[in-house]
Amino acid sequence: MTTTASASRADATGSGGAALEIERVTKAFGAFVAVDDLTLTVPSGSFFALLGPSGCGKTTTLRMVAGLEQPSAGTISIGGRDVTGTRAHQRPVNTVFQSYALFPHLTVRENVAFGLKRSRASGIPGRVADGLDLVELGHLADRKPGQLSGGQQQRVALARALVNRPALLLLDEPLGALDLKLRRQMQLELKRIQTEVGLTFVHVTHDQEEAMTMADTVAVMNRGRIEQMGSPAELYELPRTSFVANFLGQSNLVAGTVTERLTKRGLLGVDVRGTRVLVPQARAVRTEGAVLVGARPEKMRLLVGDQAPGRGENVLGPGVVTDVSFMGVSTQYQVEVAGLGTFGVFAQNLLGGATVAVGSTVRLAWAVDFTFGLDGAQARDEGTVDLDDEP
Amino acid sequence: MSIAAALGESVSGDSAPPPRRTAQRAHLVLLGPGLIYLVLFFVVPVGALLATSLYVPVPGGDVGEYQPALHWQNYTDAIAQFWPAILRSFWFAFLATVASLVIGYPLAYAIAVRARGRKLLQGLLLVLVVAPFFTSFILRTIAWKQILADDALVVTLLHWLHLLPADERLTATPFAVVSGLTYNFLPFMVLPIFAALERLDSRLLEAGADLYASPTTTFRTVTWPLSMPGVVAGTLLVFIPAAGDYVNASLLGNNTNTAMVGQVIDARFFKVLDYPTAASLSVVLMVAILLLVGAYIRRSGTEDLL
Amino acid sequence: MTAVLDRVEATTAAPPARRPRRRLGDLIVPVFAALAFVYLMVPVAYTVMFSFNDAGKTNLVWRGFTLDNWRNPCGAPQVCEAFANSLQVGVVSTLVATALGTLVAIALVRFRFRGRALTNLLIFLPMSTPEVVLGAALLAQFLTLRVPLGFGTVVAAHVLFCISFVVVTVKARVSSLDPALEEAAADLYASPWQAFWRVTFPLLIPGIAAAALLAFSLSFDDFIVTNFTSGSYTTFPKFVYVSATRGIPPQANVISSFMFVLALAIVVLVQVLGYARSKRLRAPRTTQ
Repeated sequence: MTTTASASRADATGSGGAALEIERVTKAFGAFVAVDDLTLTVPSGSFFALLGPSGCGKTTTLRMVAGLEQPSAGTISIGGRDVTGTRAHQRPVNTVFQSYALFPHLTVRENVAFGLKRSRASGIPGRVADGLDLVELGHLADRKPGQLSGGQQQRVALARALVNRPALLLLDEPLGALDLKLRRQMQLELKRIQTEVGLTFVHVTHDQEEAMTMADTVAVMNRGRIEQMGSPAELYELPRTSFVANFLGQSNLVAGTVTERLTKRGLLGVDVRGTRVLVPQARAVRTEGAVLVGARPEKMRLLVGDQAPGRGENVLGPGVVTDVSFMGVSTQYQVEVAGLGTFGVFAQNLLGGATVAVGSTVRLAWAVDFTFGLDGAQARDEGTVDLDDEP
Repeated sequence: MSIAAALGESVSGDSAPPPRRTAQRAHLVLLGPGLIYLVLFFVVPVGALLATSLYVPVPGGDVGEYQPALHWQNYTDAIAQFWPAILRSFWFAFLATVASLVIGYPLAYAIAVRARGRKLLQGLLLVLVVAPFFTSFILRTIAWKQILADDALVVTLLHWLHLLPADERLTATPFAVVSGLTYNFLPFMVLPIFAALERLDSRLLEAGADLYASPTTTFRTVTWPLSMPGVVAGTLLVFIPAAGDYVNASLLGNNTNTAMVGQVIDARFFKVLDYPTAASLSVVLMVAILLLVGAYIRRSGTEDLL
Repeated sequence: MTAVLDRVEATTAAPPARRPRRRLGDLIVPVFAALAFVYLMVPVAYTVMFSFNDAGKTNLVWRGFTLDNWRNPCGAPQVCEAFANSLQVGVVSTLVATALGTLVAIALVRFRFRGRALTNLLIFLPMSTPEVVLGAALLAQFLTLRVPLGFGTVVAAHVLFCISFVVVTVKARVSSLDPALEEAAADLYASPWQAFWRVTFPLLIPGIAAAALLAFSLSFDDFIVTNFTSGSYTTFPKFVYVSATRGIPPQANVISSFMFVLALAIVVLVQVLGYARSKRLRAPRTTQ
């Protein structure tokens, strides 16, 4: 069994990571469906992030890829080989666990050598030393994990997985236990290492910023399904569901009905409580009936008094400014528009300081080109951060 | 919730590890030997005990010869004859449990809370708590007999202080038996309470003080409730063996007003060869203890203790 | 891993805050504890003291100091034979009970299976059954099957009451292990067998050792169950109990005192070494 594992690992080393294909995988625990008919392809050599709130099925997906769980239905292939049904120790995959799971009774060196010894690799001492150098921990090789700081333990866990040159490296919220500063530092370091070793990384996280900073491709998961997949910029600029719009950054969403199609200009006219708002047809999920019209807060600006909107801008309002938070680089306004709800507006502090006071009456303007249209049947607040849900 | 239910699957949603595939049936290999052992040497013997408790003497046979029957009257006879010993056993065990709680709780508190942070001191004090176990249980009990003897220091002192009337003694009294029981099972009380108090986060006590609770109130509303699992475990670990013990009663007691049910069972088995009566008394003792323990665990709401 | 971190952090936590003022009330608990320790130790002191008694037939009254008993611990008939029997019973029962109990403990923590509640009940019941009932039940069984009483029946009985304690002790240790450790081993190409021997077992050793010590001390000092299941076979506690009526030889006190000193020395040594080790482990962190 170890021979098959090392054989495919050898293939993987040549190609610099293998592709992962998940096809129609479902995982149910009793009546609870954790992963629901999931299909996913991760190209070899890419840094792929599975992003979602806790309980969305991302960790279960990762565990099925690692072989720690078996799917109830569907197949998983790594580097073109179907590995469904094989067990964790038979797969050319290594994991960096959320809790690191370093063996407390073994030294750092023995921890890193563990996988190599099991697969009877050659040149173990050299490879262990190289692995520790990669994470800059060579000088701590003889310590026990208990004597290391959180960040150091994290790096040992990474080295322990990487030295095996797996076809696929799985990262299960590996930075969750670190404080903010260290996390930023480790994000950059992980990215550097991935570029350096050129392996396929699959990273599971609930932190959208982490996913966007590190990954080439992000798949947003919710309730066991993938909501949307794409590059971080694509997901952010053009969310296709209200969940993605709210979970990845913030969005202002209002309900409306498509009333006209300006086919020549490629626009849809949407009636939002008596106001006509334009949405580029290519940026709308639906072209008729009930839709949700959305725009990101930093795309919006405030119109004060008689200030006229620019060409090609949508306007909503008037509304009342209910809150102003000065954030340094920007100012965050909350604007309450009767009948439509609260809008967030981020204004860069180009002129220094907040310019509009609480209680002012303003209108909201934003470029038509940045407007997106979603399915009106979806809840407006799907995917917003609920304080009680924060893991 | 019954004991069985209490022992059952933890409710889903707790921090238990995720369910595993048991397709490999690895657990059967692990469980098999131990469970088979428990069935052969616990379940079957208890069955044999139940059967024996209903036996009748072989007509015309020798003393100690019995044959299978369903003679339920063994139970009523045994209870009618020995109910004082049965009640006394539970009474003495209760007194010993209360006494060990009174002595053991402050001791555990001193080690767990007062010596907190001083690992070596804590370790050594715990060693002292269990140290009596390193000598023979029976020799220690006999030492009590010597300590409480008529001409020994304790009795002389009590007589001199007129705390004990001149014609009274301590040996061969219920007091001697209960103090022997208390002494012998005290460490079983201290250890679980220590474990519970040790887990207690000292910041909780500070939070209590921060929220204007006096030390006494903090103890009553924070420390005591949180140490409850330890107290329940400790009281069970003292009560159960104390109720069935007969070494203390026979070495420190006088046989007439100190006889405990264990002594009777032992005597019925070995001196009178009256196996059915001994077996019925054993069954009565076991059932009574299980009922008491079940009710106690249920009332104290610490099912998860098991 | 977080558990290890927590432990390290707990031990390196800030020194206990100094109390503003010592009040008389603060002394009640330590004084009470000191008295309780005296209470615990006096009978032990008696036992040790009477090992030096120049006793005649009965060792109940102090007759003067002598070292004779210590020079000749096997001087009284049967005492050393009983002691050797107890050691034998203790070692065999401990080995069997620890092996069986450890396996059950691992299964109970690591697997969810049907009949788990029943298994837990089966572990719990022997612990909540008084020894006299266990002894009576086993004797009823042995009498029914006409099994000759002796070494075998005593060991069988001792294994029974030790198993449950082993299960409970080892279970606590298994539950404190991060299940991700075994998964990490599997993830690093260890077969289930290798994962057990290279990761799980080494980490369980402290728990297993504690369980084995507990089992040995329970077995070595047991009287009641032994009395029911031994027939004419004599263990040390049984020897002492039986001789109580006609006088316990001071050699029994010698053997008991010797065991006491030996056990105490070992346990104190383990404590001190463990403390020194944890201190050493902590040291490097402070330099970072």
